[in-house]
Amino acid sequence: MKVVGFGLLLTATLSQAEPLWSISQGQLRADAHLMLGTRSAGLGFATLRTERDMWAGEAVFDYVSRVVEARAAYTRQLTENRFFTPAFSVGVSALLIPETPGFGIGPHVSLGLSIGPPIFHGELGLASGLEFFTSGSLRLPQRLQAGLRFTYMGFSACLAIRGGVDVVPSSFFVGRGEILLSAGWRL
Amino acid sequence: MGHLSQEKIVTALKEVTQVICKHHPFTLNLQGANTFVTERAPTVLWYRYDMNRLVSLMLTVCFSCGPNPDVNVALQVVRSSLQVRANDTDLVNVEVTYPVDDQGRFLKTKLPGLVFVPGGLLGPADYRWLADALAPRGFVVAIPEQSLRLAFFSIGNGEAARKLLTSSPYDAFVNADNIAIGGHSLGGVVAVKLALKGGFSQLMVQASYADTADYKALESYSKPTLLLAGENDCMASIDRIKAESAKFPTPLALVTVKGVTHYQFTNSDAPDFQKKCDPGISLDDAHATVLSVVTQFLQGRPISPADGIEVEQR
Repeated sequence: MKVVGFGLLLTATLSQAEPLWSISQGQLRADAHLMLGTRSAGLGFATLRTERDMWAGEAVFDYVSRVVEARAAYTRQLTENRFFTPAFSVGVSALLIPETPGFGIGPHVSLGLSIGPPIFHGELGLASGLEFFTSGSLRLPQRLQAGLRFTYMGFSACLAIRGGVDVVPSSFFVGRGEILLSAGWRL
Repeated sequence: MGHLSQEKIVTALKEVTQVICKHHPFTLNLQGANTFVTERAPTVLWYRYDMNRLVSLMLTVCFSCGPNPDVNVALQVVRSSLQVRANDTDLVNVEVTYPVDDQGRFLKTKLPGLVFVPGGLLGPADYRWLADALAPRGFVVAIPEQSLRLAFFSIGNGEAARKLLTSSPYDAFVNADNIAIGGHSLGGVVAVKLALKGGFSQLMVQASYADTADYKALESYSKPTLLLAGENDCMASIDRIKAESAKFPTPLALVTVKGVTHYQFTNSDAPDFQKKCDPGISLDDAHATVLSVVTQFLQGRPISPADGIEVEQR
């Protein structure tokens, strides 16, 4: 089954060095989506490999700091769809920083949990990553995400908030957060 | 957004400072090649450009015209608001206040710098009184904004501000070996952390003390330190600051300013009154006393005993 999502996301502060917004959930869907947040805008897709696992990708532009980020991940559902549906993801993010120019890349893992029926459910996500930059620095993004998703006739809308810190061994940590609104549709 | 050479910046500054110093009730906005002159004050110059790693620059406000007794040249002060890269991917706003000569040019001498970290829920604008007073005395003051206005969430911003002062065009007139770090309240806690990372010549902590996590590292810290406390401070009590001062190694100057409250280190003491924490002296008197102590410290002089302060040198 393929679904295409479409996203419009609204509100919040800093993002970057992060896993995909679309994988912090337990219920999988193939979709395409557009996203708009207070700091970033982007588009993404998810393709089901089987009913229990999928590939997903996102391209995001942080319009505040002018950083371009590409994210990709593989997600495996840990149970079949239930009221509580957990999933596990592994992926990679890459950043392109203008001016310098700089480049960053690193892996991330996340655990998602959907709570509720497919038509309307809550989503919780916990993510951790590692990121290396051409400047030689390193940081470890840690994120907590929560969202509400409404799906009807193949269309979906999601309001999500994500916050956390980037642990930077050389300079303590940096607070992060963003609120995002997305809308999408099933193909 | 086009490129702008240092020469053009200086030319623009020169024009602006001349206009402002001659005609105070003026606003002059420079946007690229367009110049607008309007009635009523206060902002002077806006200019955005790309320059190496510095992404964009907005030059604003010129004031304080006339000769300065501490520096043997007629100084004017310019405040610039810049965005710099920090933490690899972030853009951080840093407000830099610095003196220029009577022709609006950068000074040819190397000046000492100060990076100042704002307190919680405060920003660079809340410390303009200090920057505006220090710049004509020959200091270049850089105040970075903080994520969520909480310095604890963006400790690296202070380091970004230091790098800014050591990058073009500021490296031409800032002594990279003489940049102090300071902070007020929560910013003081973060200033200690930045000082411990290195790269700063002095440490100034206003109405604050060190994080307990930094006690161990402070034992081996050796740069001159100023702890500035307000006698009437209801948030960082004088007793607490005196007790915590034992964690700082020598050379240390612990200065208590009589009658001063927590927010009298900022532009406004209104929050003190709202919290029913009444100052013992006026805001202007508090600023004058704090400025005198800070100036002596940043100039590397011992703090002179005076009315209104209690000095303990270790």
